[in-house]
Amino acid sequence: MFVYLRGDAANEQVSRVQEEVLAAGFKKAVMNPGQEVSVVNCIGAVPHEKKLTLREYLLTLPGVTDVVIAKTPFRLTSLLSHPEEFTVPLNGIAIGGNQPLVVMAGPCSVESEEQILSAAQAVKQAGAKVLRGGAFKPRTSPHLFQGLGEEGLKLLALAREQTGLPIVTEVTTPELVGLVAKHADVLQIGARNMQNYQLLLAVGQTDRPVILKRGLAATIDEWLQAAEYVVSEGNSRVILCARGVRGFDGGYTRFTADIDAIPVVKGLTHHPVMFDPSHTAGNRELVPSIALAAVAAGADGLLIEVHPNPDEARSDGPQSLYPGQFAALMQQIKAVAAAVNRAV
Amino acid sequence: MLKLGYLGPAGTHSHLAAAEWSSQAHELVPFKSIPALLEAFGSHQVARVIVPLENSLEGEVIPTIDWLMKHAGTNSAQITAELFLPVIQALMAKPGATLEQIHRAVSHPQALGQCRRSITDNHWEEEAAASTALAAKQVAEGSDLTVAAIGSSKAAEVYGLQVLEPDIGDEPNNWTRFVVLGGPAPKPSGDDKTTIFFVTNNVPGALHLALAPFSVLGINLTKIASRPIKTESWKYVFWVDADGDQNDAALNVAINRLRDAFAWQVIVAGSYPKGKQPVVQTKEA
Repeated sequence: MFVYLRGDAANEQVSRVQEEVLAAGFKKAVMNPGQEVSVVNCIGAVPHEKKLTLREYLLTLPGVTDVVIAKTPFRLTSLLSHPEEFTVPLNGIAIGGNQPLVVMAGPCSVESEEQILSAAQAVKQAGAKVLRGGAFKPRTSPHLFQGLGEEGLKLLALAREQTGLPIVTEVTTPELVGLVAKHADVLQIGARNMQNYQLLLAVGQTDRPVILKRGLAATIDEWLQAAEYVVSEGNSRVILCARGVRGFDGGYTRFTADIDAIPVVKGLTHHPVMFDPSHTAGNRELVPSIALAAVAAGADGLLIEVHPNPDEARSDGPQSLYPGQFAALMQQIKAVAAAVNRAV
Repeated sequence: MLKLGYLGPAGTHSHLAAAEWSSQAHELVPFKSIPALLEAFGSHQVARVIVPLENSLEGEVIPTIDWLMKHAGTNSAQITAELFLPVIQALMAKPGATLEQIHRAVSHPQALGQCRRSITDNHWEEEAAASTALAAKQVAEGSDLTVAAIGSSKAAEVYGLQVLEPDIGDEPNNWTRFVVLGGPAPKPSGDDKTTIFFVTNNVPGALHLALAPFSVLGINLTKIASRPIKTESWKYVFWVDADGDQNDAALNVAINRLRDAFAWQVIVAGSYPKGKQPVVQTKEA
């Protein structure tokens, strides 16, 4: 159940609503303040009949403009809980809402100081706002390069120092959250860890923005419910990132680009939605088309793999763009974004 | 925690009623008079109030009834619970005072009325106070050993007075009916009561016509009373308590018939589970 109040409702009017809601048997009454509309998000199992009488009563209280009884599995991330523009702040920029599209780019893995610094300079020059790079890599096979670990984090921090770009990197286990959060500006939960609930809870206890990738065979419902885990721990800075789902065209594309997930998810939640065209493509020739399609579909950001020398990359070389390709793509992204009234 | 207003100060019968009803779910806030209490409720300073509605000996509590007739049924002012509290009036005075010394009794006018026989028999003077507890406070703060307060033994405890007589009430069946205002409509319990106010015009058979549907539909009425409308002479507001919930089929029909006949003047003040009435006792003369 969602109780809507005027944005200028007095504190005591809001706390009155929260007290009434808790007295009626709800477990939590989470307040989402807004300019025009504030929302008290009522969480807990209360019989429908009781909600109806409570709704009628709450509508008589000062400051209350509407009460919506809605059954949604996305109790915290539902659009109903935050009707106003919601953005995730990140080092002076904001992601989501009507804010400019944010491109995050960089290599799949941090391989060396030279490699990450060169990649950072290249993507910054082309217009990326955030540097990506993996230090802890969950690879399909244990025999493949697993990343540089903490050393990789330090190299990312060095790249941030030199370029000023905030960094996003993946965290793979709950134990590593503290360490990664110490170095990174944004924590990424990879597709294979989307339902690693202990990990979700652990990143939920940080104040870092979290990019939650869609599991490669996860439904949109499962994906958003994974986001609920993070938000339920108090961290509402969740950015969803679609990255392709398992299809049957493996010979041509690595995954099937779930472009449709962008408008679907935007109709369900207030959280920003990004797209990763690199992983879905698996092949750099396809990356630009998919990236542009995602921009046209309303993505709030893109996560693109760029390597200074893809042919030598220790992971995901075939899907990494050359710096020159990335710079050209950025121009196309700006054009398509402009066509859908979005700044970059 | 939601605030529950009551007629204070601490130690009043209203305080006991509030404590009994709330069971730690509310913050109890005392007010100095029933109008002040109801005004605070009307302006949302407190979320709920518990107010005395009527006393078995003294009848209706006029400030409550007048307020309900004016405001009930609108916005958040619904009756949501009912509570019967036995009223045991004790006589209390400063420590050291004796019953023989007492010349004057201080209390709320209703409490004085409930102890009329004792007051007359003992030739005590009467002095009105805003509440029984305030009377006890006044006696406690003075130094006059000839003055006694009449109120709950709780008040003696709160203000450090000595109980001279634990029960000086005239009648054994002295209880007060309290109602709680505010909060969502309670779920029908199967044994409910609905309070309705309505205005009739001064025409022959008006009250009969208003009540006929209740009779025809077999709805028991547990209370009928009237109060003059202050703004118009010789017009009356009728107060009816009917068995059942306002959404019960029969009661719903009766209320709609009432509305058809008396359009703007029908107020349903709330449906609520019946409070448990005290068992009637006889007092030895």
